[in-house]
Amino acid sequence: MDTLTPITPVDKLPVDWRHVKALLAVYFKQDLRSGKAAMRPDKNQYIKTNWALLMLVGTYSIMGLIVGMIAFTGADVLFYSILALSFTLIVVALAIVIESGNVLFNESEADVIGHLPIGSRTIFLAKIINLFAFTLLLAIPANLFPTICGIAATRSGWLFIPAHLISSVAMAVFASALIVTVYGLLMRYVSRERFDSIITYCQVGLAMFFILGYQVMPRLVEKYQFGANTQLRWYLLLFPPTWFAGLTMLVMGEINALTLGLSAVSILSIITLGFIALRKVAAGYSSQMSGISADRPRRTTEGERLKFSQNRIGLMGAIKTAILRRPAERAVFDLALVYLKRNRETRVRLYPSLAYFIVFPFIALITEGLPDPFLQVDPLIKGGLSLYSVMGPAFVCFIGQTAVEGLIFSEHYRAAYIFRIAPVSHLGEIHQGMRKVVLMLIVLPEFIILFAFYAALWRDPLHAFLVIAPWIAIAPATLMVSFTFREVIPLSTKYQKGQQTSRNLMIVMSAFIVAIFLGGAQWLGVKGIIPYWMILAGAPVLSALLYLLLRAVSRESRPLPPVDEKESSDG
Amino acid sequence: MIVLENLTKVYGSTVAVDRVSLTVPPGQLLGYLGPNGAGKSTTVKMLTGMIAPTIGRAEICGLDLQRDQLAIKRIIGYVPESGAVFESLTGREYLEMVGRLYGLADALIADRVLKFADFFELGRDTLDNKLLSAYSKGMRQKVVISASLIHNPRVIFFDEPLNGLDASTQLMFKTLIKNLAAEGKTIFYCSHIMDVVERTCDRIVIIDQGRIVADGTLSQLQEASGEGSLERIFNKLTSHTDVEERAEEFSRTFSF
Repeated sequence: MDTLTPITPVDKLPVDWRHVKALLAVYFKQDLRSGKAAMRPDKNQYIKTNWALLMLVGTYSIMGLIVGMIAFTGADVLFYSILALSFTLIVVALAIVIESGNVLFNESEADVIGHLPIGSRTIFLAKIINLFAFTLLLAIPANLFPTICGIAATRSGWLFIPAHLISSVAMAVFASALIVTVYGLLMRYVSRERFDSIITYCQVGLAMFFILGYQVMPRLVEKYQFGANTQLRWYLLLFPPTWFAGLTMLVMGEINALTLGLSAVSILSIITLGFIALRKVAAGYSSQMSGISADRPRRTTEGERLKFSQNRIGLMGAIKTAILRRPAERAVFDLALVYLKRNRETRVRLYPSLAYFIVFPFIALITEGLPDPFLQVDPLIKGGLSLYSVMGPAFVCFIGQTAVEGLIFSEHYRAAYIFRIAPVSHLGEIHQGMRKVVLMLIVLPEFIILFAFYAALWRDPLHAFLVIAPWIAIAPATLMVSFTFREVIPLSTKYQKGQQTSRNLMIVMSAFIVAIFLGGAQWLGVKGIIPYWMILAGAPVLSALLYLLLRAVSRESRPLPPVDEKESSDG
Repeated sequence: MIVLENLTKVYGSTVAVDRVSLTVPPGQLLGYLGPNGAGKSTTVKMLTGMIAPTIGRAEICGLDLQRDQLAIKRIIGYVPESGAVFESLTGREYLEMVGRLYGLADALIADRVLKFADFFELGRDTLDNKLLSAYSKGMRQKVVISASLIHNPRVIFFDEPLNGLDASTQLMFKTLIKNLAAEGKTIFYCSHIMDVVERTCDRIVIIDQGRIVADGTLSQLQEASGEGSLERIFNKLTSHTDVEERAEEFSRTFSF
């Protein structure tokens, strides 16, 4: 632990609401604009809209509809409310975990407003309100259908609509306050040297916590058939959506010790987090922010330097020499590698997504067990191969895509002009460098972790390999998808809020769809309906064909074209 | 040699560069001047292949800008106005990356990096271990200039290259570009610092609102305009004649 950053007079200034209003106007404009200018057909210039945000709103509305359908299954209103609020929590929390880094730790902002007479509390409050507005933007569409459908739940009625609206907004406030407070306390108490590492680990931890909570709790509800009775298990009381479901019940008129207690806990939790955020974190925010910006690691460690420069020495060097034949590939590979390892902005945005692959097998393990698919006594009853065992490797493939998408963004996007003026003969050289760094640094290590997990669980490395192998084979083809029909230049685009979250969402959905198809084929193989060797042999062939097809329709064989926008991101 | 024929860039209803025609022979150091938004950087971005011209054509060393873009990129160097670098790399890592993008061998890159480090007095420790985010603006600019020259280009485009450089480095840089021009390299130098252009460049082109409004040596411009200094010539040609009066009047409005 480091000593606290000294509190400066600016930190002690009270909240100035005129400043808050001015800052919020700027933040909201930034969020809703894509940061690029373009031409309308009528030849007038306009600012492009941030479509990622709008896409998120649409997608969450559809996902909310699926959650709303649960109300028609005869579920009790209390448990329906817990499920709907769990959904709200995951939507809001994951978005904030990923997006808040860019809001709270925005270093370039210090150059713009750091010298202005704006108090720490004012800046911090404006940021919290901005983040909260972002969470509402997601939480409202996500709860649109669950709110209306909730009327159909057992013991429910029209009052569910206002009650659920209040509790879901309160849930969103709780999630925002929790994450902002955790980050704020880290800024305040963690040593500056370790801040970058701790914050990324913390993000991964928070992401896993929320996904696990969201996935495990509803399964426990289903497993113990809580929908049929209204008795709460003790551990559900530890789950925040239960507190806010109590608030829903209270507003609906069910006044008893349980609903009063749960409501009190929910309101107290928000007050406590708000108090910590505004009293303990906000006061020193500006100083802490300038502290972590000014004193961030400015020197490479010995290990980092050696790893980067000794490209041709040792095993890693030999592998790199073998796989990175063209100089531009190597340049892109090394650049992306450094940003994945050193750059805080890249890490805080990307690392939370990297944990998804282990979450689903882990959920299956703690809720229904994850038996060795090749040793099931009665595969017809048990289903032969759990979808969760294939969700793991399916996610690895798609996490690779997330990483590619994440590597497009950077605060140093202006420096990407270098790729446009350098004599790179084909766009493919740049793409290959990005694909290979993601493959080597993310996809392969995750497959190895998953292999070790399954091998240890099933005590049979061969079976673990047999489950994962088809996915390893298709990984190069799935990675190719991100590069089809467009140019992907590393670190060339300024990040806009919602872009990483919307990409992650697409990836989760893609992973489910592909896992169902390829996992279905694997399931047939495990059951013996088709020989498993056909799956093992077919996956590489399918992958190669898909790869070649995607390559053929991509722009990789062409050089980088000049851009035509007035405000090119990499100009 | 650089040849521009009616090079034009239009954004919607705005003409950023308007039919610019120009020939810059090998070994010439051309100063390309203009007020803010005149189209200097747009011209350079078209010539470096970063943005596409709307109409017109250009040649660099006999190579057509649109047909031989890759060959052109191999022989040009560029210092952007933004001076942007990937700040999470060290200076050496950045130069190595740029060298690789130009297809240079690692040994050659290492050798040239050392030469630039010595010339610009970038300490080895700084170059090897400090991230570019920790460099001062001037130090970062030295790295950007080094990156533009690392592949020994035949034509070099400088867009406000002196940003952030201290006086002695500016002097070194001016001497360097004069020598590079003397060796036969063509230098296209964009700036609005009159003094440097006046002292350094063989020929001066002034553009305003995308159009060339003057082209010649300093003495030719003086003769044509009847003004003494380049600053006065510039103000006259770009319709900024009453700048001093306007500044005085504006300063009086601050008497509160």
